[in-house]
Amino acid sequence: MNGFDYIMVINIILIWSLMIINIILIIGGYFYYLKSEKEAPPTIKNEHPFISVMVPAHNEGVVIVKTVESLLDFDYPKECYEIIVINDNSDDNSDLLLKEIQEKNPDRNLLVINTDNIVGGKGKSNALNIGYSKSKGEYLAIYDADNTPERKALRYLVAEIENDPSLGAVIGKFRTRNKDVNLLTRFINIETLSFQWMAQAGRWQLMKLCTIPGTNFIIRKNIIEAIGGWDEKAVAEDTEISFRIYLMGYKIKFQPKAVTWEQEPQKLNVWFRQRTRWVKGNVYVLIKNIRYLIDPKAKKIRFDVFYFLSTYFLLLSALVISDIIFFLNLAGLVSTTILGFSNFLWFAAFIMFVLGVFISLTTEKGEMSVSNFFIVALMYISYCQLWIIVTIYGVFQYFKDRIKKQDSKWYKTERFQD
Amino acid sequence: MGLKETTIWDFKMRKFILMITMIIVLFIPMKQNYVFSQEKNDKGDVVILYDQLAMDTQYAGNLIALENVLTAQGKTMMVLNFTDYSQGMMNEFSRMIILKNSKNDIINTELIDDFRNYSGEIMYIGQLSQELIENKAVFNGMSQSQSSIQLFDQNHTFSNEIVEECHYINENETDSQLFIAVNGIKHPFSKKNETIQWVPLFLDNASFQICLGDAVKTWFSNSENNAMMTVVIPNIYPFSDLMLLVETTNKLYEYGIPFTVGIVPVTENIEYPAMQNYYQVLRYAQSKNGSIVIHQPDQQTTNGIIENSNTIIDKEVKILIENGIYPLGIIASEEMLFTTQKEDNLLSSFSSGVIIQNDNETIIENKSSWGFEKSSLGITMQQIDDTRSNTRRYHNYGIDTTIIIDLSEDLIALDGVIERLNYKWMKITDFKEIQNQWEIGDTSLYSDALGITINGMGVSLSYNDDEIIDDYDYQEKQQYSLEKIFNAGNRVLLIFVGLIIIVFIGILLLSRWVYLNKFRKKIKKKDKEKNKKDDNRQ
Repeated sequence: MNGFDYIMVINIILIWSLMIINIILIIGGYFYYLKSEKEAPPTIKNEHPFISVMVPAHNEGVVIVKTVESLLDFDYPKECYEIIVINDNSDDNSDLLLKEIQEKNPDRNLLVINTDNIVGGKGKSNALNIGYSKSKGEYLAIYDADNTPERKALRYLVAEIENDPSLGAVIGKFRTRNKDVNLLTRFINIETLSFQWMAQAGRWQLMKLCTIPGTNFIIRKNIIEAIGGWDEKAVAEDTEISFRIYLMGYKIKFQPKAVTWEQEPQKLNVWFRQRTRWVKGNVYVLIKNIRYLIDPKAKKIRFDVFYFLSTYFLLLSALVISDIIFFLNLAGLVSTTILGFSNFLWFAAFIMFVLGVFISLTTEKGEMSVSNFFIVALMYISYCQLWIIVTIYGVFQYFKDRIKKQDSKWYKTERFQD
Repeated sequence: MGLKETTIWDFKMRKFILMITMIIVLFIPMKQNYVFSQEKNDKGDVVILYDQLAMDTQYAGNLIALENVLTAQGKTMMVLNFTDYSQGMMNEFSRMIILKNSKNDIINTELIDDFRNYSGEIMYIGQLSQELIENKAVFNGMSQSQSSIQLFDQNHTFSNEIVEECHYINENETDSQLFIAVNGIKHPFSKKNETIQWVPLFLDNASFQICLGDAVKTWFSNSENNAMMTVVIPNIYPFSDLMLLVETTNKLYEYGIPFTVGIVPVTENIEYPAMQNYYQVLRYAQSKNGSIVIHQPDQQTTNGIIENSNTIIDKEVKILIENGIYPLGIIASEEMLFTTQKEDNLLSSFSSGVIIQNDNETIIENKSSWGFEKSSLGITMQQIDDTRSNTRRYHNYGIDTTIIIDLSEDLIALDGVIERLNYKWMKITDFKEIQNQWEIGDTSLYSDALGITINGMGVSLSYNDDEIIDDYDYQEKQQYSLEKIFNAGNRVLLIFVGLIIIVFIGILLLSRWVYLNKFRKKIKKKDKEKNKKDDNRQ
């Protein structure tokens, strides 16, 4: 047995281990869905707490009006929440549009903070810290500038966090509002339902673990105070803040009834840049927190650290190395005796993947369709493979930045007219 | 005759000459071989009479060494001890070799009488006996103890050694091309007087064998100076390091050194994948200037029964031919040529062989041998290394020799051997290009410079390179060992994935029910409300 054989065996174990973990999460997620369907929506038992809804926005003129209008329309007492829009060094007409909305709604707590390139323009974390410094609420609710949350979304989030003091944050579900634009947005819609909503639900159901998705969540302000605000170096501030919440002893709950609709990238290059930022951000957070893998005090986040480590390093390495060895073997440059498993097994695994993803789609109205079944099958050979490329590129970019001692740039996702 | 007619006539003549030439080329080798076979003497080419084996002296083993020299030249012999000699025995042979290892007097008067009246050619090796050689002075022999000696042939200087007792011819000037230097002074290796050729000293080592072989060749009136040298990698069997064999093959092929692979007969468990891999590697070697020869079957495994050797050879040859491998000759110890009868012995079907040292102890009883039509003396690479060539090119020795390259060495050591071989600019003969033939059962093989034929049909030695990779052997072994693990893993995962698919289908059915209940109710509710409104309007 040569060195390449050992590598191949390790790769196969890694790939199948992560596949099994994801299957377990899907099953757990589905049972959480069934459970939550039976439960009544959460209600606020005491007085409505004051909430600061923060929206970081950088050149979001295309979508900001719709977002702010939907925030103003929350089914929540208007005197009990403020909306803080951080118009972060925008050079479009966002300031005018926001001013118009302010003028139209003089009786509402709508604060617009316009920043220049001296204090602003340094990314989402910086914008959130600026908003946080002006906030008055007991809780902070965060929405991205392209979101149109459902009316009751804030109420459900507040109810959950108010009723359980062990919760540090509550996250809601996000859906793709432009899912029918093209094949890419259809893929993203399925990805959102399956890998984000089902995986979050599964982790909550089985391990009481969740990761903040960056939008549509509520967090206790005292937590942000305690951790000294958002880490401005983190381009994936959501993952970073999740780890910090768990380390403080709080939990993060998933409440699927709190829904927001998000605009997703409609062009491949936009998608690629956005996902590269996610990868770089998550790699940063992973490396920053890798010590918690063996820290006995951090057992709550150990799974998450391991999960990220597996996804961005172990699984990625396994896929890339096994592919390289496979092609080198075909070229006769290296030898491996590992022929792997039968084609039938791999086909069965593919069927398993399609069924697993399709289960996630049955939780949403209109998604359980034959066309979606085939899109899932197509997704496996196209979108999933693109993710591998993105991950490789993101990891490469991260280390390139580290070698050059550059801070990661926060890439602003391009918005599209609805 | 016009120009056009002349051209046509020329064309026809050329065609005719070409056809005749082809026919001649095709039939000449067969005819030559046939003539060669007819010349063999059924009684034996020579009788060897020896006084004693002298096991505790410097002469220990020289009888076997002598037998090796003769068998390596395809000579057959009868070997007799002085005491067992009966009157008239030597007269059945036209040539006689006396091996006298001691100073003891000869007491067998029949031998003395017959010797004095013997009219054939005599090669007298060792100490001159007064009983046999009355006029010893004519040979001008001398003795010297604790001497440094060194042998020389026409092209080589062999390594020197110290001997306890040295007998030599006390002459300097000679027309001989073989010499022995005693304490730095050259003397003739042998001297002929009338019918007796005297070799004063013969010890059991390769240098003496090569020089004596050269002398014996001349003594047999063979003046041809075309001795060949071949290379053999012996003792290859299915569990040899086949990767190393492939590497060695590639290296030898790269240097243009033709070689021979000596394979140990294996006739059991041939259906195992390892055997198929083994045959593939042999075919690969065959395609890269490699020839295949078989080792004599191990008599120990067959209880020494001759029929068993025949059975093994019969089976082995059939298996090899079926697998596209064409054994051309046999590797044998000279002992085998004495212990098995030529008649009904399939080993003797081979016309050519490589003679190597005996693995077993010498059989002391009087014996007769058979021999190959073409054979060579196996020598080690060390012998080549220890011998200095008088010119830049390393000339072949006076007799046919085969250099044995042991595959038990590691790759680095083997590389070194091949590098040295290449550096010496030797003329290595392709074994398959010498005339080899055998006939076993319904199958006959013939090979020469034109190629190999089986039952008269030419065979191809080409090989598809894609079928084998450098570390073929390692791979196959590991595949076999990992196959079980992966088959088990495959089964476990198939069961697991199957169960998950069943669970998923179950969840899908449940989710469909949930989906329809959840969303259809709403639709129905909406429809009902709509219908109510319509009814109210009406």
